[in-house]
Amino acid sequence: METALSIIFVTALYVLVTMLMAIIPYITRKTESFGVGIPSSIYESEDIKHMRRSYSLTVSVIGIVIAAAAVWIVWLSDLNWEVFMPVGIVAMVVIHNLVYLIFHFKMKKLKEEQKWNLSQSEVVQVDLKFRQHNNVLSHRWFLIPGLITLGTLIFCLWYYPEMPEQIPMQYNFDGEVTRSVEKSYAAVLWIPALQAFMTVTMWIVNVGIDKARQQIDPTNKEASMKQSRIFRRRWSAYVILSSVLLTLLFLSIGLSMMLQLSAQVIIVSTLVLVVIMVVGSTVLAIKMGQGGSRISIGAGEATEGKRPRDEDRHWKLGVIYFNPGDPTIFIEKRFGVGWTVNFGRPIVYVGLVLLIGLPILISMLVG
Amino acid sequence: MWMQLELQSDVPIYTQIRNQIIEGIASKALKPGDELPSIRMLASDLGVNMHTVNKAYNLLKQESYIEVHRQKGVVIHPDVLKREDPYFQEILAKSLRPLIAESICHRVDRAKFITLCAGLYDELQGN
Repeated sequence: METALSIIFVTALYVLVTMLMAIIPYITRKTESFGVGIPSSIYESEDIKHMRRSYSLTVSVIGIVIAAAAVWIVWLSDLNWEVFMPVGIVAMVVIHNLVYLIFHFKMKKLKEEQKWNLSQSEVVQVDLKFRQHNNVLSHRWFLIPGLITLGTLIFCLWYYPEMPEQIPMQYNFDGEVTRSVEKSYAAVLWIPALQAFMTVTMWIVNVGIDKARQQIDPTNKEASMKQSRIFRRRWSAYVILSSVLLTLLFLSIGLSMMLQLSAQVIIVSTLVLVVIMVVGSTVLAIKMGQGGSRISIGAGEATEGKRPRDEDRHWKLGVIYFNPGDPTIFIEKRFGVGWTVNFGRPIVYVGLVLLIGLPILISMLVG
Repeated sequence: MWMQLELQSDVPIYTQIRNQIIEGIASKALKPGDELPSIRMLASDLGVNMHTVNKAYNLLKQESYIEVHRQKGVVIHPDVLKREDPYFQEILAKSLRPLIAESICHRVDRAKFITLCAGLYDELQGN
């Protein structure tokens, strides 16, 4: 039972990661290719089409090989797959990123050779009224996960005296408790603590989506601006919905652990939630593309002779934005869908330390 | 209202920002009392240093095109279209002088110069 389930799980996860990597070149903005800025007119050229195809093919083949190897190893050995699987995923992501780097450097070289855009003038286009619109859903929506967190906290404190002496901490796929700790406030309150952490994180993400730099394609500014607004609002809705579902999930985990309900419920609801979130984000990513570039907007007037600013020198390896002179904190990724941060801003490091440190701190307190 | 910076131009960025906001006021895309983005927000959207935007806003403030409030933020000066500055014509004459001289050297005659000016004037006024 356990082997069969874990093999299905491993395979599904590996296939998913591979698929997500393989589609990236098709959902970036048309002004970017493998982390290199290009004029949008070049995006459909044969050279670059060919590069996209061969990248996706390479990534898919590697993904299939690794997934097959993983299944084979899990099948044959006594390896603890819960340890093995994350290691395999990390290995897979590393290899996929190496493939990306090869294509990134190829693209860079191609750009140097071709000198496509030197005849066009380099411009930055900004809508001065952009910030007067609601580009994300209201931050007040976070009151819902906030209230769920508060409810969980009250529940934990209220029922504390009646809770069992041993609190389960970990289950396997069959719903058996594999680890439990003695009852303490830390063993109970980590749930509302994590909920609060997630709510605040998601709220910061919503602020980030709102504040992220305007990125307007000067070849069709009106359409580009509208796409960007739809893109931001839909991702904002996704983030808010996720925060509600995640806090609800933790509430149900708390309820079933403390009231000693069936663990199967937790496992099933966790899996369902993960599937909803992954499928949801994949659909959004494919439908809208990066920056909303795949959303069709009534054809605005196209402007010739202009190209967006060449920022290649600030994008290290095409993925890390480092520009200390730019006050921007959140900025659209070049290779992928969503946003990244400006690593040239000190505040970003404070945020990263908190983002990684707080969950570790919470888990250390639980013991 | 759209703002567009030409990155390869000889005109410094802060001057381009200043000029475009004044153009926006002239064409009524920006009305008296309209809000402008904060220094940080505009610098972020343009991907330029905050000093650059600060410099442009300071110029606009000195020239009374904008007002900077503590609460309302940056707004277009409410009286921006009602001013009668006796010194402005002097300044205008001074900035036109070298341009007219250059025009003469480039064989742009008086009529052509006037037509050009009139065309630009109408365009900026939004006619």
